[in-house]
Amino acid sequence: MAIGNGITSAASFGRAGILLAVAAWAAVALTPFGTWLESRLASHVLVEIPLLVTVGFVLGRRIEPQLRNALEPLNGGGIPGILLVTFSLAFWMIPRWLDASLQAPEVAAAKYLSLVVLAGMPLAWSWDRLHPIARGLVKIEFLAMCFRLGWLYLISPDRLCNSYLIDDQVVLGRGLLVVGIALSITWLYPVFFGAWSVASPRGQGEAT
Amino acid sequence: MNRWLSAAATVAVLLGGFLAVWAGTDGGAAWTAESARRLDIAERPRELPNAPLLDVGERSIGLASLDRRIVIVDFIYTRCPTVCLDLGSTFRDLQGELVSRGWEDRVGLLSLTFDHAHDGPVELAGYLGRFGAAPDLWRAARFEAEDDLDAVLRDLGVIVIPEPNVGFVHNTAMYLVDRGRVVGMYDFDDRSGLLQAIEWRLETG
Repeated sequence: MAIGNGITSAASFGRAGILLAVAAWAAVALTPFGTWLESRLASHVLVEIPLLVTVGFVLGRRIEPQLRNALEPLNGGGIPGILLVTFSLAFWMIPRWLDASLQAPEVAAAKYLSLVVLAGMPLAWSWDRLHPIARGLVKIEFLAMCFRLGWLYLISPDRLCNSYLIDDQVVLGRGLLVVGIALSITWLYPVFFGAWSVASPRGQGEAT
Repeated sequence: MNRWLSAAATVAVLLGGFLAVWAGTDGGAAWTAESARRLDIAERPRELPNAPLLDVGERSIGLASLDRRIVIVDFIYTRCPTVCLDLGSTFRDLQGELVSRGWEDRVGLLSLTFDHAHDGPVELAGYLGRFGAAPDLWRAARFEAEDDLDAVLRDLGVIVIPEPNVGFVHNTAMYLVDRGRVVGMYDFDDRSGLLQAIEWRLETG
């Protein structure tokens, strides 16, 4: 996710973090704020979904000692966890279920809960444990998804969601491309200019 | 031991994930709500409620008790400036097909308006006139009660979104109704598929 970079520095959140996360979740799931986000396809996908995942991520960090420890033996190398994140996100990218979440309250509830519990929380528990190569793979795959989906939404002559206008679809397509480009830059920047810069002589990078 | 647990968890997540996507798309057949509702209606034909309609002559007719066995239904609104013109001309072509095949006493056309607030008998008559509808063969009607309209739209998965420039945007289809049951849904450019289905139904009784 977009929060991938801040993860190592975000090892601890205060009580305020939990309160904020719960408040954000309640605002999305229980108030007209969520309905407003869902009134446009782009904000549904690019704001609401990342917000719910972030909520789960913050909560995942906080309840770490109890649940995380209990699940640790199952989450070797963070692989099962990150796969769970991938599938949960992929599922809510299926136009049919995005549509259904607007029509059926039980599907909406499933979305609000699963993005927190099955995406955000396992992301918090798995990212640090992932091998750097696996992390790179996840990032690349995430970027590729942004570009693939963005392109799909831009060129699709059909409305993919019955609840949204085709213009909305184009806005989302552009948004996904922008997110993809912005993340590419964010993730590539440290490769050239960061501590492990490819340009810096061996060892010197560590010292800075 | 942990390794085996994690490997098992990985397999479980993979299986569960694929299963969820598989089940959630009817085995990869329906990725959009539109294809899902078509598949659903084809597999599980549904009864239409016998909701009272008012036709252009302000006669009351029942949605599920029309005088023809097979009815092709579409949803329209008469102020529609764009797509509905295609829909209208598709129905006009279908009307010609029905007559030339000699099916006109067994198959009828029905355009239902979802613009409950605006479309009355006069607007609907104007709509029919615009496309040269043959009286009784191609009818237009509005629901007497808006609740019935909403229920039918919901049941068929028709979603109408108000749009500032053109009035409404909606998922369009032709609904094949056989003895009051919706048995299929066809794209407006799939006239031949629709006619084939009707032929099959008429032949097999």
